[in-house]
Amino acid sequence: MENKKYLNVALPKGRLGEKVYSYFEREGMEAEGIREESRKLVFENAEGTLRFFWVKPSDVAIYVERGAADIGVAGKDILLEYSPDVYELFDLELGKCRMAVAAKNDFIDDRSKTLRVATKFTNIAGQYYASLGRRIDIIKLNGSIELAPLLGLSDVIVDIVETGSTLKANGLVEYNKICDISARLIANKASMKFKGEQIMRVCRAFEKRD
Amino acid sequence: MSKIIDELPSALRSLYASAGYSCYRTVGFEEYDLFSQYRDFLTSGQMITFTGAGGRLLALKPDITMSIIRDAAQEKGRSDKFYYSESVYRVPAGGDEFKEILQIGLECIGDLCGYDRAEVVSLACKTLGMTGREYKLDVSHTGLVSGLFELFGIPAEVRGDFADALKDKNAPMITLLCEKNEISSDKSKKLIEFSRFSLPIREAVRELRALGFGDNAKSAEALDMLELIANTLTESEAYCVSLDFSVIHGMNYYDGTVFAGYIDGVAEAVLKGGEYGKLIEKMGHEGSGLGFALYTDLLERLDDGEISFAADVMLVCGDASPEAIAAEVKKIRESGKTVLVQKGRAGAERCAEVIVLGGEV
Repeated sequence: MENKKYLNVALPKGRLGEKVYSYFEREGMEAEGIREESRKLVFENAEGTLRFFWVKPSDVAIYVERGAADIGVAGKDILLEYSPDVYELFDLELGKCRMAVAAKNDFIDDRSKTLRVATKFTNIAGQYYASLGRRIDIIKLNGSIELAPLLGLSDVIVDIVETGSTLKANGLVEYNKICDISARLIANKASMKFKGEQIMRVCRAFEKRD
Repeated sequence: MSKIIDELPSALRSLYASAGYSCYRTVGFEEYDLFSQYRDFLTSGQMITFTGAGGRLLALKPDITMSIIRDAAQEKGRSDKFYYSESVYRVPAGGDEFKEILQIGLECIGDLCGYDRAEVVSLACKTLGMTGREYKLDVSHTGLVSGLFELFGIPAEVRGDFADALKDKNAPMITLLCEKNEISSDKSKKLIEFSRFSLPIREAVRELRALGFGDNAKSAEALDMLELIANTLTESEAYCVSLDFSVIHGMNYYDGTVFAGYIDGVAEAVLKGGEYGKLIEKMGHEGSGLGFALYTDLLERLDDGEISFAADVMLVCGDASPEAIAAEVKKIRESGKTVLVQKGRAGAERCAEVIVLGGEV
């Protein structure tokens, strides 16, 4: 695939990616057929300057770090968890939520015991508790994190909280906010050197959006 | 083997030798203590260690610079200039396992003058240019970053956090840090502009002087140095060198010009370098030191897409006599082609052309 003339954009599959793509559309940077139902994954604009591809949200940062994409949109949670070596150019203020510690309503933190923490975000949780000097046992899960304290697998969970309704529905409460999360425009460091003007044009288009 | 990796080392050796750099060779391992005291200078603090025959703890070299500093002479008015092409063993940034990395680089250590410093940057440009690809060298200076922080009133205790944000051109983090440290939103916006600042070096020096960077002692000195570098470069080199505040290497060790080089087609910096006077001081030496390393492992995919044949011609000799084969080989070689002789044509795809000499086996 000839990458030289294109600015390759990795968009996260789903609502966030579609919203981000609508900003490109509004700036006249749309790609033919991208809104149509199909199995196609790569879409190019008519001028041959932009190439979009849909990828799993958690993979966007890898595509950008490795240079398969020049820019992309990734959640701050992914950037904190994997620390990819990319430029974090802009906060899109989309997909806003927070990384938080949650536990059962009746949870009391017993500092004499190792805290069992279930999470998908092992690095974020590890760094957070290290900053508190708290001894923990991290239990890596890939989904249904809320189940862990209910079944006694863990004392707390570290997970993304948007409205808190999933926690509430499962009898859990948010104890501490670790950080705010939102979608970020990221860029490959080498691409900034060779396609810097194209990248900054996209960045400026996002900055002036409503 | 990639053609670039195959041919580049000898071309670079000639380049460095032409600037008076001599070859520095090491054994593959050193006393662990040499590296352990300054482990945060290394890309990764992890090392492959083992106990030597005499019971001493040894490490496979994670870095070459420290060995060269240790061995450099310390004499007023003298600078030692070495180049190397050596394997180092370390966990690459973001990696999770040790790798053997062939690193080619140079170090200029001792009582350095402005020209020594500028020459290293010029050699870094030439090194990147010898890959035959479009390249960019981003340059900054620790004095310039300090000057920027002073200009914006960034408190000393949070400068490390701001430096991390600059390094990633992280606009959201700069905004957050400014809010936390009660730095006005106007200043915050300007800092974000500086994080995105990237101009060819000559233009950048003029621009920063116009913005008042020359009024601050640290940044004035930095601008003088960068100007000297700019004046030493050829026109085409200067076009490829940009001043970029995001080039920040370990602030505990670097205290001068710092740079990172990129080649079109490689997703990360292939060359990193800078002046590490603080490391020299920590190692108890006089003077300063400046150098860079080219990470050749990152170049191995540059000629992807080009078919790499084992030889131009496969000579299938079958039952031909050794004399006939030798004559045919001589003829092919004289035509300027490389030749691989084998009995049958198995694996013929390894060569661009197949010539059958005798009856096939």
